[in-house]
Amino acid sequence: MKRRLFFLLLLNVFLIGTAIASDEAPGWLMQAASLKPPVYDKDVPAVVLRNEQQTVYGSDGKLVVTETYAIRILNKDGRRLAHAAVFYLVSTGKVRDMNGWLIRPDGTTKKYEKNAILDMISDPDDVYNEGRIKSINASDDADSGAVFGYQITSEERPLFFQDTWTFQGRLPTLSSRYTLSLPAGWKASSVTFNHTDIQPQVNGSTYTWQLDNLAPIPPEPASPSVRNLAPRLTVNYFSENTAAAGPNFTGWKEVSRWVSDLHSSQVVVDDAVAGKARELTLNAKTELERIQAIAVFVQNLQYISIDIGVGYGNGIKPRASNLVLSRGYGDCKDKANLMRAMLKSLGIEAYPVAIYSGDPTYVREEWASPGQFNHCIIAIKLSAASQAATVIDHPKLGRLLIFDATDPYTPVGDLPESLQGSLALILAGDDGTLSKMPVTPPEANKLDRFTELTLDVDGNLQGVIRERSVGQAAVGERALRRLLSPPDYNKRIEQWIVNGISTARLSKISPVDKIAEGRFELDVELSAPSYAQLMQGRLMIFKPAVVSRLNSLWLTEPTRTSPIVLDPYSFTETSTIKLPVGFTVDEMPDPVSLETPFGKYSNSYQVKEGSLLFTRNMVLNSARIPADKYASVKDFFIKIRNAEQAPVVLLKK
Amino acid sequence: MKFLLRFACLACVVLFIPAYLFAGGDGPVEWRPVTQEELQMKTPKVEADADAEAIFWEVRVDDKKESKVSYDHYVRVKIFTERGREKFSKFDIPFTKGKTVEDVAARVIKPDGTIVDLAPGDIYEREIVKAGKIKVMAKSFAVPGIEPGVIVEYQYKEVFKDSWANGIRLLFQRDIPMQKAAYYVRPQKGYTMGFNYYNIPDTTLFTQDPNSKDFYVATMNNVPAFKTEPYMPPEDEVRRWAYASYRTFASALVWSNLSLGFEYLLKERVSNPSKAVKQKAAEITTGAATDEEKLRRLYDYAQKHIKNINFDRSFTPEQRDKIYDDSAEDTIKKGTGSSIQIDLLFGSLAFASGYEVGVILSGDRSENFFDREKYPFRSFVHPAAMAIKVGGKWKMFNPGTPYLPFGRLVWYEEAVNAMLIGTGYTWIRIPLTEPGGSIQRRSGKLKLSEDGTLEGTVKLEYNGHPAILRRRDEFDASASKREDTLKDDIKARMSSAEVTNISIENFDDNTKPLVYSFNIRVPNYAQKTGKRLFVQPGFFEYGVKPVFSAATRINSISFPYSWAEIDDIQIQFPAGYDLDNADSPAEVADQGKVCSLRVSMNFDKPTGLLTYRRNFYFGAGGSILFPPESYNSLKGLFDGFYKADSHVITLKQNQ
Repeated sequence: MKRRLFFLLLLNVFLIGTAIASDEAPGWLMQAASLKPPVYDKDVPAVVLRNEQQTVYGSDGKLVVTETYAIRILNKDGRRLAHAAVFYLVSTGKVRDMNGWLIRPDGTTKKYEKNAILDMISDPDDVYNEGRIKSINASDDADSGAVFGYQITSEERPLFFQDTWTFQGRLPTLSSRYTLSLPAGWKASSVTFNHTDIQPQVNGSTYTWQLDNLAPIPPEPASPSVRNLAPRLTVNYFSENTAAAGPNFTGWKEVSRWVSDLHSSQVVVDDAVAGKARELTLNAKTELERIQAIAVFVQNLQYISIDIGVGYGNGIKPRASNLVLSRGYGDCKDKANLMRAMLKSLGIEAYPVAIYSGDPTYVREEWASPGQFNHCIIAIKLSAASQAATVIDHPKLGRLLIFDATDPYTPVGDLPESLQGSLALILAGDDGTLSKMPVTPPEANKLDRFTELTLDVDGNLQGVIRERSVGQAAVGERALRRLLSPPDYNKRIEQWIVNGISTARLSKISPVDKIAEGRFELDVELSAPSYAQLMQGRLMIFKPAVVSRLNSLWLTEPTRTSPIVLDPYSFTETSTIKLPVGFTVDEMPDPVSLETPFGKYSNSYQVKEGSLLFTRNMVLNSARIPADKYASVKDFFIKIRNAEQAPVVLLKK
Repeated sequence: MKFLLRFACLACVVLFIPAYLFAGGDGPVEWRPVTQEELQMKTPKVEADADAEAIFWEVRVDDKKESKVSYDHYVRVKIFTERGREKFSKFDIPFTKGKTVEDVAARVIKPDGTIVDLAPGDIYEREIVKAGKIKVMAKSFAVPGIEPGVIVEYQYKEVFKDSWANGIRLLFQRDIPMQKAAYYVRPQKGYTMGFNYYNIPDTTLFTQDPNSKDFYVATMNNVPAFKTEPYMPPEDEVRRWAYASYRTFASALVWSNLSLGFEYLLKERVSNPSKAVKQKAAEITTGAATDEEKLRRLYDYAQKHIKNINFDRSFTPEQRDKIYDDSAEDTIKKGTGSSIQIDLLFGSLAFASGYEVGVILSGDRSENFFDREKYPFRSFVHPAAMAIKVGGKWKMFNPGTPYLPFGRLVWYEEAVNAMLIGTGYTWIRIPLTEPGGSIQRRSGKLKLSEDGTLEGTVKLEYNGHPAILRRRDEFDASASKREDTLKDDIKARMSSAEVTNISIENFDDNTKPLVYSFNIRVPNYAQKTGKRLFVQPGFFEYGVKPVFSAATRINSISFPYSWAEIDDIQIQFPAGYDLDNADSPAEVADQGKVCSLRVSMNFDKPTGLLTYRRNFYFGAGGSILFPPESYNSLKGLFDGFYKADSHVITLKQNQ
């Protein structure tokens, strides 16, 4: 927190008023400022008038990139968008030139020169990171109607001959263009995502791709990331003389071969690595137990991101396994590599797996590139004797157990939800393939809740709530338990209960983490005065869904433009509520049963031997639902909310 | 005005006194022996649930040399959990021009005694940020071999050039528990250092160090971690800390010296109005019949007709600097001024109109509960308002803050002690505005449909502090953003609510209540069973969460201000339904009349109209601070408010 504050303060200190008044704007910006954009919804904060990148690959092996950008601020909320930023790597890149201009609504201009440029580390939370950002912030000067523009020229040495270009962010964009100029004898090809294929205009060895009049992409809840909505171009460029071209990926096998080579030299099995592996697996009897023992050790190594020498491939290449072991920390690729080395010392073959963390639909098969990944996990060759839910059958490598050695909450045999179903590259040299990661079934990731409660004649409630979760449902509970100190965890549980039962007092909170089994258990004992509302001593009403009622909706807008992304979720609840003596049930809500392609929900009510038996069950499938089905998704959740708010009415005999 | 001052102070604190600092590795390092008991420690000693515990946390402050002051840190921490490991796993060491960091080292000691030293090559020096000629550098590293069970220890020295150890805060309570917290302080030769203690019962904590008579030493054992809770007093009032300062003959005259400075300011900038200022004052007040009318006009002129550069982000610091020395006459001529200049202009105009004028320096209740004996230092007060004597009584005004209405102060300048400086000075207590000064009036004309949908028109009227805060938070937001904020507020309580036709009145006119009007439609507001509808008539409290959920409490409970709410709601029920039950919740109140909630309902059967009236207030008689022992009863009251507000009535279908 202090670090964040520190950086914010620095930004504020440095960014106030570093402009020089009364400068001429360049012609391209004046021309952009003269454009008349259409009228947008009042929530659209700004419109991009021009978004252009010119990339020149020279025969000296350098890429020179010139970004030209102009934006018109449409309202006060858009002021923050009068901002220019460029990322560069210290090891292989630099920013040659950076200029910004602001044309105010009255036509006067401000130019932002060198002293207006802030040059800072790209990630304040990373200790070892060479990435930097240069920026110009004109937001304090930019009123509604102002046009801000910038031109940045930077250079870098490409690690491989590929590039990617996104034609817009969320803002509407009038003109968006990507130009690639290559030396004689070089060619380029492209693949388009999130849009029909965009063909370039070719002039000699200069290629230009362009899109105009792009509509805004409004932020919507449960939406795919904007990366998966905005038109995106990926480009390969190559020399017809292959020998001179360097890394050139025509297919996933080439990518696998290139990245595998970077990894394999780092698998160092020395005495320390082998000794540690032996020590950890001393009591392991089976292949799976040996893997689990190594996995737990590696998962619990401190995570430290290492982004030094990225321009030379160190963003992809792990540190040597023996170094990571001696330091006791590492990032995702370091952990996967150390685990691979330790398994190797035990005679178990494993392969690193390049994957994208955060959106299982992000990686596309059509573009073979290491640039599609941001995370590294591991695939472990498994004998037929070992069984696990996250095993895939590889056509050449056989049975592979997929495991994320970075996630400390997901044990062997499970995979983080954000990775399940994703396309990932198994880095096995020539045998490497882009493969679909396993998806565990809903029943392997569910929460079962059992409540045993007693309601007395005054409406007071007392009893116990037990939760049993497994798989990814347990991961959430486990993470909460581990991330919070015991007092803070208890407070969080109190808040959760009090949100459903406002007067609840918790007498006992008992969490039990069974990570080896992928399970988590929580028992809560409670009492709650006046949970049920007693009316004139004769009528008593209460909601049988005592906790985790769906109180609010997250799909509330009448219309929708982007698909709805649902994460898998499954829970059951079985409640027994002993009713107060002298009261009978006068009214019970009708049971609800909903079944859709993306999920199911049902509940039931039954009075038996003086108790109300209430059940509810829900299963949500991992789904991406088209926007035209929005009404049915919204309706599904509205019906669930209504069902969970429904009270039971008791009448005094 | 205030936020800029606070910003500047914060910037200094963060830039020059960071919490965890390391650097270098350039000097010989001596480590003290680690005991077997420390190595084998499996559980914390001070707090059972601690993730990490400092075995000792020592700081040596050395002000021996006139041109610089140094801080030597030596910390030994036992790690118990993964959370503790995460917290101590990596460090950044920022440093700027004028500061150096020296003699740094870190190491990890495992329970078996194995030592893992930080390799010098793992220290990564980088430029954190650079803008023009200003640079902030840092040395950063990850702690090797850290895991639960180990001891992490580190040392470093910060040296500040051209600084001294006067007016420094010494923290005896940090965010982890400490078995031993110690400060050693060596003052400059010839100076006497004094210590003031806060939330530390021992007022003789610092004594002469028996091992080095030049140093004072203070040690506290078994100090629990500093923890935060909702509605707790400001940190200065709860954390254990000391304030070190040099005591000179002037220390006893701190307030009179401060007063002299402001008396001079008043004389130069207020009580000596130029001809132009006098003319302007006369022009503004012409025709005003009463003192209040005159002062309102002057206030309105200063606040509305002078562009306030502190609230207009288009001004650069250079442009601001150019007008900081402007006189009242300059401010009138340019039509532009800082918050302070606008206050001084108002004072000058008032003086020119024949009023006695003073200035108020107050404490800041968001930072501490200022008392001149407890905090006898000038940095604990700030200019809060101009004081004008009207009818023999002093009244306070701050036109330099655009969203403050005539005669009001911000909440943290109420219920505080303050200096009133005119000719000489006197101490006063700025009173807390009673709940009636911060009323929210909320009304709704609503119709309930048979399917449970509630819809109609709503009006929210904010007065006093709630209006001031809304205006402060959104003074720079677009109209669309203000509407979005309102929608977000409502949807946080009623997610399915559809809010349309929003009108926001008087946002920029603080002489009037801030008013929001809109149409609302809430599907499924009422729950329906086979023959009944259940409705919460307390529409404005629907979906509000309980204020207190924790069963226990460590700190006092402190509310920023007192407030009141008056709700008038009409709900037209659907035809074919009768009230099955509409008993009103009983009044919830305390014996001391600090707070009260009264709900009354009336149902007109022929028309099917329910009228619901809710009267609530809290903090009467200046009661907004409560000791932790009263938590249970206070929570009981708020649980009672919650229950009454979420009271449900039943409609039954006619047979």
